[in-house]
Amino acid sequence: MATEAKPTTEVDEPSIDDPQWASRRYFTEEERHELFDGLARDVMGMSGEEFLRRWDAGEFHELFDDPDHSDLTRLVMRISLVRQDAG
Amino acid sequence: MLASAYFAAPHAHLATFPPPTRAVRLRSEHDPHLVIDLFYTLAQQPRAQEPWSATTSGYLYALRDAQARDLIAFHWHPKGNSPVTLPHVHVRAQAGPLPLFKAHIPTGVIPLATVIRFAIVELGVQPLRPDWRAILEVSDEVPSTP
Repeated sequence: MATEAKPTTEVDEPSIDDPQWASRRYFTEEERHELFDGLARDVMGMSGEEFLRRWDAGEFHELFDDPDHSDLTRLVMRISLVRQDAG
Repeated sequence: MLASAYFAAPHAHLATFPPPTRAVRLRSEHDPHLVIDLFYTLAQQPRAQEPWSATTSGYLYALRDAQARDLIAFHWHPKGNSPVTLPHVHVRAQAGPLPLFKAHIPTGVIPLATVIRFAIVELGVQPLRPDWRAILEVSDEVPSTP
């Protein structure tokens, strides 16, 4: 599975007074799973459920903390948000 | 405060900016882009003057180029499968014969404010606000669990 860096989608000239960035909210558990699933699809090209299954089976571990696969690291760090037993 | 409607979550909170797979283009001639993932926990302190305290529990701060490659990446992921659980930094650089990018260069826990200050002072990023120094000084006070 390749996880080459994707072209960055830029956010030009953000303003901290912009309501888009100033607004805040808390996600429900269902929304957290949806966000994780969306990120897994963006980064790894697979569902969040499939990623978790393959991660648990030992796949991709060599890419975690590899700065050339930073988005994978970001995804793995979010596992704790969808699995309470992950700490 | 007489009451609080907040209930501490069983896991860490995540403050992320901007949304995943995006990066904020910073105002600088070097065209750096910023990614922030900051994990933190909240704890209630009934007897303290401030009833709630926030503690940093992990982070990934990255300064990237326009091709989404990390140039400087500050990591702290105490959990996960990496053998390196202490805070460290990756730098896309070669120091003489030493390839640094894959190396985990040890650091202390780096507050987000320190990274922002580094970007402004050392990398020439233009701040949005004239009072950025005062804001970052306050942010420096957020504690972390080593």
